[in-house]
This record gives sequence, C-alpha cells and structure tokens, in this order.
Amino acid sequence: MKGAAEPTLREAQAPKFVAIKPTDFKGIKPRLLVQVGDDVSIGTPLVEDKTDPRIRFVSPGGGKVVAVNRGRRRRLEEIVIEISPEETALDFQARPIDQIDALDDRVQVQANLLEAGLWPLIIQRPYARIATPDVEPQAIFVSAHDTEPLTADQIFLIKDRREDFEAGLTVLSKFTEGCIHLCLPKNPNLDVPWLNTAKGCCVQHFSGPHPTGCFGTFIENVEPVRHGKTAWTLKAADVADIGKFFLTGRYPTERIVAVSGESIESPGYFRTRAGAHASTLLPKDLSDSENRVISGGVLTGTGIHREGFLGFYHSTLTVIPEGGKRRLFGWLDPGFTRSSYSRAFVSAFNNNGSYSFDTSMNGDKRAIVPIGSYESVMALDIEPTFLFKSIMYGDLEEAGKLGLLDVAEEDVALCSYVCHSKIDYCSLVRQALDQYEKEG
Amino acid sequence: MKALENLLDKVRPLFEKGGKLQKFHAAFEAGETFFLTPPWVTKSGPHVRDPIDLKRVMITVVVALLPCTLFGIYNAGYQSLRAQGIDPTLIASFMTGLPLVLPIIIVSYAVGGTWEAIFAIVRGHEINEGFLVTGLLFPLTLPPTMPLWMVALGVSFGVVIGKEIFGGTGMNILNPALTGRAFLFFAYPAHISGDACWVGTPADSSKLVDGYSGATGLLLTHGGGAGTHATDILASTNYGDFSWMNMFLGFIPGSIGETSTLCCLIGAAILIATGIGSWRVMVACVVGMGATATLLNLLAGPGSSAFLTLPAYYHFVMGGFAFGAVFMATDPVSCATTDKGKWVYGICIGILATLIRTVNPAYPEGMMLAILFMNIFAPLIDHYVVQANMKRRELRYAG
Repeated sequence: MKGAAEPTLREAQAPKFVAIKPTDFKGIKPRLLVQVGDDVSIGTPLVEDKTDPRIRFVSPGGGKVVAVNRGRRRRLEEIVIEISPEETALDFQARPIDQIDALDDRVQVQANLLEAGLWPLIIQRPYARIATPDVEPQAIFVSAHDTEPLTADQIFLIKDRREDFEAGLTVLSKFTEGCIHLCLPKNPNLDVPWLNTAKGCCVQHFSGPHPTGCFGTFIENVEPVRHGKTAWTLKAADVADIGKFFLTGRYPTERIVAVSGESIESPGYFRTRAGAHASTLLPKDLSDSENRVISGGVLTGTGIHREGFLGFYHSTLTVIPEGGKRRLFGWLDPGFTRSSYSRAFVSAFNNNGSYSFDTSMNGDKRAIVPIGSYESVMALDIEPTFLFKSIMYGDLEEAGKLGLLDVAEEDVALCSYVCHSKIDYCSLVRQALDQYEKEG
Repeated sequence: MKALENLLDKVRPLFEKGGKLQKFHAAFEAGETFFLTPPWVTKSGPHVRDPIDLKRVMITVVVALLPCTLFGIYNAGYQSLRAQGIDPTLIASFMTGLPLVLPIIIVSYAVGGTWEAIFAIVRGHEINEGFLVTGLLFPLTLPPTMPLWMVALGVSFGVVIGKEIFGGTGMNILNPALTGRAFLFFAYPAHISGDACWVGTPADSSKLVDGYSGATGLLLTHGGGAGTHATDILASTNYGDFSWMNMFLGFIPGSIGETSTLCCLIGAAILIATGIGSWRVMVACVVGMGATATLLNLLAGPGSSAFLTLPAYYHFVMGGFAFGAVFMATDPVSCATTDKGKWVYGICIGILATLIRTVNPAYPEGMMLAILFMNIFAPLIDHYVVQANMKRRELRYAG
C-alpha cells in the first residue's frame, strides 16, 4: 500500500489533550470513577471493570478531566484530560533490573500491573480480551512482527529500548512456567541483534505477508492453546512499557507512533504521548471529510476523526482517502488502476507494486458465493467458509469445533477485505466470541 | 453523470421504506447499480475493501463464456448451411446462426430475469447477479433448434426449482442452469437428444444435401456395434468430419456452446487467471475422466461395445465434457467448498460422466447427469473434509 512510514523519528507537537477510550477494551464492563472537573495525575484510575474492579484503566496525563463523551445508549466512549503545565504523576516503587529478577511473588507482580493500569495490555487467547487475573497462561506470545499494512514496525519502536524490553520480559516470565515466545520477522528491515538472543525467550521467526504476523498464526504454528488453557499475547512495544514501569515506578506516557497512509505527505514516526490528540500528529490542512483517520492499521484499526484520540493499543495513525465516489458503469471498468487481491482486474497483470486504496465498499452486500478467496487468505488450518456459516446460523458449538476460539478479528480481517459479498467477518467473529464466552 | 446522480437521488425516496414503490426497491437497486457504483463506505475495520464485488465475479464468468457463445452462434449457422449444401463462409454462417441462437438467449434472460425479479420483490432481497451467468449458461447447453417456449419453461424450472425455492443465489444445491436443462431433457427428449435436433435445418428435407446426418460424435459411437473401434467409426462417417482436431475446434453438431473445446479452454484460462473459477475442479474432472476412460480402454475386449474403446483424449473433445468441466462443475455455490472436497468432487464427476457415456445403454452423454449427481453429494464430501478438520483441531487442543 502507498504511504508506509519512513524509519525516521520526529518530535510531535506536545498534545494539550489526551484521552482513554473504554471502547478499546474487550471483555470488560466499564465503570466511571471520575467526573468532569476532577483533577487527576498520571496514573490516577479513571475507569474500572465492573466484573473485576482490580482491572483499572488509568489516566495517561496529569491535569483536569474536561469531558466524558458518551455514545449511543450512554456507552462510555472517551474520557478527555486537559494536561496542565505542572503535571503530576503517581509514584510506585521503582526497581533496578536485578530486583525485578529477584521478585518471585507472582501475586505481587500481578498486583503491581493491575494497580498501575498496565494489566489491560495483556490480551488473552481465546476470546482476544483482557487477560483474566489469577489464571496462569500456558505460554506468552510477544510479537515484533506486525504484518498489517502501514502499521508501525515493532522493531523500530523498541530498537532503542533494550533495557525496558528486557525488564518487561523478566516481569512476564514471572507469570508462567511455559515459554515466552518472541515472534520476529525472518528478514527484519532493521537489524537489532540483541533481540535474537533475548533472555528467557524462545525466539520464533516468521516470514511472509499478512496474516503471518497475527497472533492466531503464531499460536497455531508454535504452540496451540490446549483445552481450558489460555495464552497471552502482547506487542513488543507494550512489553517495553511494562518494563519501563517497573524500572521507573511511573506509568509510561511516552509513545512512538507511525503516522502513515496515502493522505500523509511525509509518513514517518513521531514521538508523542499515549492517548494523544490525533490532530497534533496530523498536517493542519488535512480535511476530515475527504480522509479517513484511523487509530491503528487499515484492517483492524478504529475510525476516529482529526479531533479523536489515539487508541490504547495503537502505535499507528493511518490516514487514507475517504471513498464513496460513484463511478459510471463501474462493472464494465476493466480496472487498470484498481488493485485487487483477486485477479479480476487488468491491474493484476500490470502490477507496479504500490497500491492505492480508499474506504469505498466497492459493492453491495450479497449472500456468500464461495469462490475460495477466504481459504486463500486464511493462515490457520481452518475452513473459513464453514466457520463463518456456522456462526451465521447460530451454531456456536460447531463454530467452536471449527476453530472459533483460535481466531480473533485480526485473523479474519483479510477475509472481510477480499469478500466480494461485502460481509464483515470481524464483527461477526467478535460477536460470536463474546457470546461463546458468556454461554461458557 | 452528475445529472444521473441527481435524478437517481430524486426518485430514490419513492423506493425506500415508506415510499410509494418500496416493493420495487430491489428493481431500483439493480437499475441504480447498473449505472453507478454504490456509494457505501466502510463503517468499521477493515477500513479498506477489495474492489471486487459479486457483479465483477459474475461479469468475469460472462466474459469467459463469450468465446463459446460467439463460436456457438457461428457454428449453428455453419452446420445449418453445410446441411443445405451452401458454402459456409464466416459472415454467412454467422448471419444464419444469429437468428437461431439469439432468440434463445434473449428468451432465457428475459424469462429467467423476470422470475429473479419477482422473487427479489416478493422476498425483499436484492436482485442477484448470479443470474447473469445462469441466463447465458442455460441457452448454451441447448440445441440451436430448441423451441422458444421450451426455453422459457426450462429456464423457469431452473431458476425457480433449482435456485429460488432454496433461498436464491448462494443457497441452491443444484446448478440452476443444469437443473433447467435436465428438466427439458427428461420432459422433451425428442428436442434435446437423438440426431434431429442439433442442426437447424429447413422444414423441407429435399433441400438437404445427400447423406446428411445430424448425429453427434457421441451418438455415432453409441450406435457402433460390438467389436468395432470407436475411432474407426468416427473416421468412417459419410457426413461430417469427426477427426480429433475438428472436434477440438468445434465444427461439429451439438449444443450451442459446447462444441468447441478450444473456446472452453479459452474460457478456462480466463477463469483460472482471474481466480474466479476453481482450477482444482477442472483438473480433477479431467483426471477422473482420463483415468476411467483409459481403464475402460484396457478392459475393452473384442466383443465389447465401441464406446469402451474411445480414448480419453477423444472423450475430452466430444460432447459437453469440456464445457461442463469448465463452466458447470465449477459453479462455486453447488460445487464442494473445501479445497480437498473439490478434488474428490471433480474426480467423481469425471468418473461418472465417462461411465454414463460408456457403460449406460440409454444416454450417449453423461456430463450433465454426472454434475447434477455430484452437486447433491458435494455437501456430503464437504462434511467429511470438515469433520477431518475438526478432528485435527481436537487433537491439537488435546496435545
């Protein structure tokens, strides 16, 4: 795709506002702990989970709560904080690396992560939701191999954060008797040799286009999750953030973000803050109506506006042109410039390698007519057509047998992308996972 | 274009919920998207979508069918002129073939399309592009002499019984075009089998050349007595050229679209290159047929019927085998969905088609029945592939 980020780091304009967005978090019921006008510090809890109040989401900035934005049915969407010049932060215990290593109390480490508001960084498979505390994972997967188009290169994000990253791995190692699998690209764009010898890890190499960089692919190929067990998944930069918290005793607010996409003139990396106001990362003249601003990648990210905020899990801000332009007799267009996974356009035979995309659906909803396109973009040993159909006719038991628990939105995103019937399998799979978990 | 957009915007409310003509929304939608691509943008991730849609898929199949269609028109005229002893030049053949074939295609599209629209309106779903393909596939499987009312009846049966009662495109078990053809085949056998239907001839038989025969190669082989060799029969016919090359090119009597294996291969190339048609099914059909035919050749003794001695490469160019393997067996809805299932499904079609041709005493051609039969078995094949997948996954979880 056009507009990949250049590996150069620039300083972004310091954001005046930061926010957390409870909608980023899967598998929790948020309860608001603050009101508009409250003073908060970095690390003050803003939201907790109603089911397990130990899971809390803390403020990424110090200042005043200026807005609590709700969506339909009063769903909590954004809690916005205006950063004050004399920003304060809650201090926790800072430990040098050998002290972290000496920690052998899993309960203590877990309590620290929960209290600091970093627990939500740990995602658990199956269900791809925030990990349930007190459950020992069978294995932990740390990914530095993100293949989603235009997203930040995890290796770029951590290349200068060796200490943080290694401290993070040490923290994670307290949680499981199993392996920490560090998933690296076979041919990385940047050479970071210390990653290959990271302590306490089983290093796994992957190569190939998306979806080889999805956690579903890693888990299936390295160590499938056994019945009743869980695996944890984290991005490499998040591991570094966990390490940084233990080293400094403060909630890590700095974040490097790739700003990429066709609408960005000079795509690259910016140093900014967690939950930053998107407009501080975007060119001033970027029009909101003609462009789609996405927190995250084009396949799994969340659509936001110029005035929106970077998501909790995201190190990428992608901006692509908004689609919807109607074309006359589109079905007759031989498609010299339309890039498609299928080869039903002339462009397939005239490929110059850089693709241009907008947000058009490019078609209407139809019934499934399986021409084998899902199978060809599915990295797992799963029959996607049958999995999706079983979800559609509501037989979750069968869906479970067909591998529902081994997938998450990211693993089926390409199926939605290639679908000529324009069906959204990401939300389908998400609903099915939520329901499956609820029904046990 | 702007004017068109404005016009469509102006009349749209009439067809939307609460509008006067809301019942006809499906028709409006079909008409609207015929002119302009739909305006929808993605709401959530994935924010980008492939430019392909079902229209494009179906149009690609129609494009792949064009060589067969054009050659079919030409050949219908060519055979007709030859039967009358007139010099079949390119233009003359085409001009003679056009009035024979075009009405069949038009009736098929018009009647089938009407059914499609009626069901879309009554059941409130959109008009599905799948019919673009069915509406052309069906006439290509018919002889050029088919009475138009039978065409209408056949396509109605195919669309309504073959597809719509199951819920429309995507839900059907049988290939709708073949369902329609099978109906005509059993209801009006005189018009779709034998030796009288394949060539459009004038009513006055005195205008025909001496020795004229409208028989197809398969029929001739079928009629060959015990102890004769199939290729000898084909080589020794008085009328018509049944050499391998001629049958490959398609200058033989037969159903409109099926005669030219070359055109079918061009279609296959388009379908495989675009990724729309399954190469697995096509290859599997050929493998199944090749293996069976070769085996029968080996088994054929001096007293067995001529058909057993027909070599596989003759089977390949005769009758509807190539057309069926490329365009009918690969119908994504009625064929097996799993990749492994496609192999089994295709091979079985090849085997069955050859067996029906050679061993069955009643019909010289077996492709249509073989495909329909395997359509019914496709879900079962898939079931076993999926069960195997579930077992494999189960072991993984336990491991």
